[in-house]
Amino acid sequence: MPLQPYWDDITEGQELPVLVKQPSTQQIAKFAGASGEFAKIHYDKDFAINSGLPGVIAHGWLTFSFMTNAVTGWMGKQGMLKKIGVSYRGVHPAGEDIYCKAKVTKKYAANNEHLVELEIWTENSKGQRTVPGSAIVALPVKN
Amino acid sequence: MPEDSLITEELKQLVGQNSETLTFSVDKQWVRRFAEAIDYPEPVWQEEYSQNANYDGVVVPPTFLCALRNDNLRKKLHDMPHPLRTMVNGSSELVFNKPVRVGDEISVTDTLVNVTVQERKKGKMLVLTNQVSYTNQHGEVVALGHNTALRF
Repeated sequence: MPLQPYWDDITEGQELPVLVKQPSTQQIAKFAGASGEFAKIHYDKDFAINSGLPGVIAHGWLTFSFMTNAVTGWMGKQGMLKKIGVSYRGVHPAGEDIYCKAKVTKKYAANNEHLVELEIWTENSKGQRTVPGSAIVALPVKN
Repeated sequence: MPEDSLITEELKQLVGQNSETLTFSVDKQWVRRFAEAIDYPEPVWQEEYSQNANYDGVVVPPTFLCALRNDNLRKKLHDMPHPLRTMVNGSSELVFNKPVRVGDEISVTDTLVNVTVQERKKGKMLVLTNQVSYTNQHGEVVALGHNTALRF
């Protein structure tokens, strides 16, 4: 279990631990079942290829979920996710690595909360940024 | 293709209208299945875990909200006659006001807030922006979703 980060210790520019995921077709199918998102590009390889894709691809919301895991896993039990959002610029084919990265862009206090703004993004194995976004979390302060 | 042929009369009439509201029961097994599908690092759906972690009740992974699907608006847009036929997700955002817990009843309403036309390399693209509100059984808006869909 990683240590609870405290707002006091955060510095702008600080990077979060990288989360690497490699969703299999099985995981993508499980996500389709759990989320109810059954677009064919996520489970029908022939259909995906005919649509110009390299094969079945991970759902945008599955990638977004991995990115969220990278943030919630870091912020600890006393952290609170306030806001998180991403833009889908590239796709992630099944079986390929997704690197979920994040970096602190701003640290500030507002409405009695101690907040940290993060730039979040994914990279594929070629190092291309595929899904950029941002998040805001509230962190505890030391006594 | 001129803009007004892309922002059709039918589309204009949909802007600002709320979809029919759907209400979902946040079931523990459903949350467990979703959490497993995304490799959520902690067993947040377990009461014992939540008690130890000092959570006030069993919470859900943040993106579980996407499973509370209200496809009424999406289906209307999909079925609408329109010159641009391909529709993909452009972006997703969640803003959290209160935690969502196992056992909650969440009502989901989807509203098309804006439609614009953007130029892309291969021609014009329609950007449809919607807002999804998630309201619990106490009438509290627990979260808002802001999404864009791209049509080209």
